Amino acid sequence: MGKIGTVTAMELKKAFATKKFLLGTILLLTFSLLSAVYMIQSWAGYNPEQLVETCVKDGEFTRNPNLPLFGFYKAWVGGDGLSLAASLFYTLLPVAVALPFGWSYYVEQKNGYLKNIYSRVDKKIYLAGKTIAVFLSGAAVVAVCLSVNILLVLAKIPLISPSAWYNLYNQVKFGTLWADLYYSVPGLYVLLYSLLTVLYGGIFALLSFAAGCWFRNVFAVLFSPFLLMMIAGYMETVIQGRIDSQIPIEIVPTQFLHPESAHYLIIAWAVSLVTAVLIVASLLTIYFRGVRNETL
Amino acid sequence: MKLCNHIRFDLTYGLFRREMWGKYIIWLGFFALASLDFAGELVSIEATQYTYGDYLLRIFGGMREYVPAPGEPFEIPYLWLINHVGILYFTLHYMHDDLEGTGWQMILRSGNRTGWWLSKCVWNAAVVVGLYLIAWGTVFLLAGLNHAVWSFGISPFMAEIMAPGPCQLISASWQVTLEITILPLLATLAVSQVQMLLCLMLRPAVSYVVSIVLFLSSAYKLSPFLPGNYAMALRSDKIISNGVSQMTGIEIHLFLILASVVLGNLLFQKYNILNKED
Repeated sequence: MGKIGTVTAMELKKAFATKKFLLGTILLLTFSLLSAVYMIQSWAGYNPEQLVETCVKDGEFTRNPNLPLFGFYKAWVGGDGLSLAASLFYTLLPVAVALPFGWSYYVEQKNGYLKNIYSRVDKKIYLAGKTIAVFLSGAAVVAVCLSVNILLVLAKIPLISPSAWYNLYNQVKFGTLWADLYYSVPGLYVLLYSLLTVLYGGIFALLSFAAGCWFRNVFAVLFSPFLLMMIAGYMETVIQGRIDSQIPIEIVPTQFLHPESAHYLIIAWAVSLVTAVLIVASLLTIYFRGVRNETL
Repeated sequence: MKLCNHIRFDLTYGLFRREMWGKYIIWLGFFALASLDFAGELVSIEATQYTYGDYLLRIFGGMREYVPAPGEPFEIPYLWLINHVGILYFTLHYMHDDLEGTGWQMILRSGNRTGWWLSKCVWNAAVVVGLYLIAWGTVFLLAGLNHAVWSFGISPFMAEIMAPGPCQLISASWQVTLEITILPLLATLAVSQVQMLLCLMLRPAVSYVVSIVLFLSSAYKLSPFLPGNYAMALRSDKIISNGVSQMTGIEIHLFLILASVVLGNLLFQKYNILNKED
């Protein structure tokens, strides 16, 4: 294992074997579990076995059970646009992923640990190892919480394919990100959205790391990604209200990661652009501010 | 060291240190943007006469009652939420920073923990009131420049802009001066004091998360037990028939402020002020 491998392994150990990783996971897991419980309680009455009792009489349907609206794809946390827990899951995601390790650079700079480590390892190698660890810690928090939610909902709510006939109630509009998959291979849609959310777990953690290169306050470091999303959410409504666009586009990550509650249309190029800008901005900040920082 | 000395120090250092000026400017800019945005809205609906009250209702009014239904997802009221969580963020770390810095020395030398705690409560209230004054001042200035009528009455067209929902009362009866001025301030102040109390029991970051959850829950659910509802004029019983009462709101917020100051003082007597870490 090269030097970068050793540094990364050390940073990963620091990132994962801490109470803060547990704290971030518990915070997000709480909302992921509450969303699952809310959906299971609300949707369970629509299970096919129970529908016979409520919708069928003498072998004929007495009312439309609207099955495509009450399946798994409308009940996992990304498809849950109704519960408070799902809103809190996505709103507090930037905080929960920053909690495990996003603050570490700031604290190491403050307590003098960086001076110690920079005398032993090249700055660039150390920063690269830390960047990987921060990204993975944030991504892992989201991966754990999403997996638990999906498995729990899958265990209780049947897989019923979404129907385009119900598009009035589906927030996945035609032409939006992976909408064709949602109606043809919905399982792949959930997988891709989950991977995007996991990726953003890492990106928000990196943003927090980058904030640590600018701010001299641990709370600013922890909450910068959250406050940035709040301000972006408001700015988006101001901008979309002013421009005379036929297709208002969603550009706020915490909104487009949750397709069921997005205000505007989620377009692939806008998602790619925002994602690229956030990754490049955080990596450039970490590289330039981190390498140029005169610690010794 | 007497209480007044603690307060004098906190008000001069805590309110006017360099770090705070940046926050005041950000706050002023945010409310200038919100006011200009509403001015643009007024132009687009071709409103000819509007009041200062309309501006305050648009900015501090919150959101209509949310009723979960398929096809109607919950939309976060960003403007309203930023007003509250923004101030709560600004007041989050002063006590913690002070305790990490010179605060513990001041407590040891003065031997007056009550004075130190009460002084932090006064500082907290001063910052909240100060930030509201900045917000109101900015809104009033821009509303004045836009030739708004000096009145806290609400124009009838605001019923269409704000759309308070199926339970709305006729707009002519909307008299919500307290709901758009004092009640949002009291709600922020009460939660800010509770947040400071929670900082003694939990980590400051966790207590801030609790505050965010509290305000977001208030936006989601119309309930007299969630204090954020009193900070939304659109949830008032003067605007919707199933709304919350302003008097209950004032009583609840004053109780929360008093309880957190008293309870905080009791807790702080036995609080470990040494070896604080991030």
